[in-house]
Amino acid sequence: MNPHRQPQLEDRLAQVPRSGLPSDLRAACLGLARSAASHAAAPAAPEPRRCASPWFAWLWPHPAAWAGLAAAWCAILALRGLAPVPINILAATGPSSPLVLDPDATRQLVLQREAREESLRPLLPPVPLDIDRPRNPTRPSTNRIA
Amino acid sequence: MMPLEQILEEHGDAVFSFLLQLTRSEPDARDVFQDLWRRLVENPSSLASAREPRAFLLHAARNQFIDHARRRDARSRAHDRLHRHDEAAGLFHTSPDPDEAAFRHALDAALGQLPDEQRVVVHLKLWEGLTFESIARLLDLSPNTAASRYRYGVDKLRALLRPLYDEIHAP
Repeated sequence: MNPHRQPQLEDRLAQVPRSGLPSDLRAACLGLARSAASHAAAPAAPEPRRCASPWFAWLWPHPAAWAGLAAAWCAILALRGLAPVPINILAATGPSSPLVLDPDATRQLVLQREAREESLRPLLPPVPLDIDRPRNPTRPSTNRIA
Repeated sequence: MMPLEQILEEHGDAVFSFLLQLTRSEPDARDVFQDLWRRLVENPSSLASAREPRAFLLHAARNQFIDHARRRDARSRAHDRLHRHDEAAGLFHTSPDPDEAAFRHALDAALGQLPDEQRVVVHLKLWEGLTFESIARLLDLSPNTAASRYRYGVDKLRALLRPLYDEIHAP
């Protein structure tokens, strides 16, 4: 191969003019650049009313944070509506709850109840012993017992 | 800082030609160029620290092309690769001279037959006039690798273009 020919071909290739940016694309890019420049040169839009709260300053430019906070509250309310009421809460709201009555009042109530039962005991019929009581009074007796 | 209009005027042709060489498709080159330009418009200060704006833009164009290629699915890329070899990508201006037009068309098609890594180096060396050191920095290569890729690429171009070249330039 002729060594003088190698740079000749490369020079020849380098002289081939490459195609440039299409005119419509150039115009679109220029328009984009000019609109950006005019937007940057325009007076800034009035800022929203500022609040002194740092929470507000932190959340205002973050709508996603607002959405997350709202979603968290919705989830908390939904879970609270779906969950059964705990037993200790029911007990705490009942009339005999130790959380409602203090020990002195409870003792007083017990004494009153015992006194009431004592006063009513003579009026009650005698309670039969378990041995004399039929096992099932509603059930007829069988022939075997008779 | 250089205004964006001036950047487009001075470097737009080179960047678009480089993207055409990378993509071998004018619609893809347009897409990548528009994405790159939009990023520049949104952040014009990114160019301020560049010592060589042309090299910076070519590097950014290559990165944008890589992002673009990753977004596309493998099937469409394989389809493009199948169809790009035998087609000219419109890399060069058309010429009224039929011989010159035929040569440019053959050169365009021959470039399409080079491996991507050789074609890019050949483009940067021949049509951007960059040194191997600059090409190596731009493509994250060693200068020796850039030089060897250029040599392989030019040898292949010579083999592909020799019949037409000899015919056109015969005395």
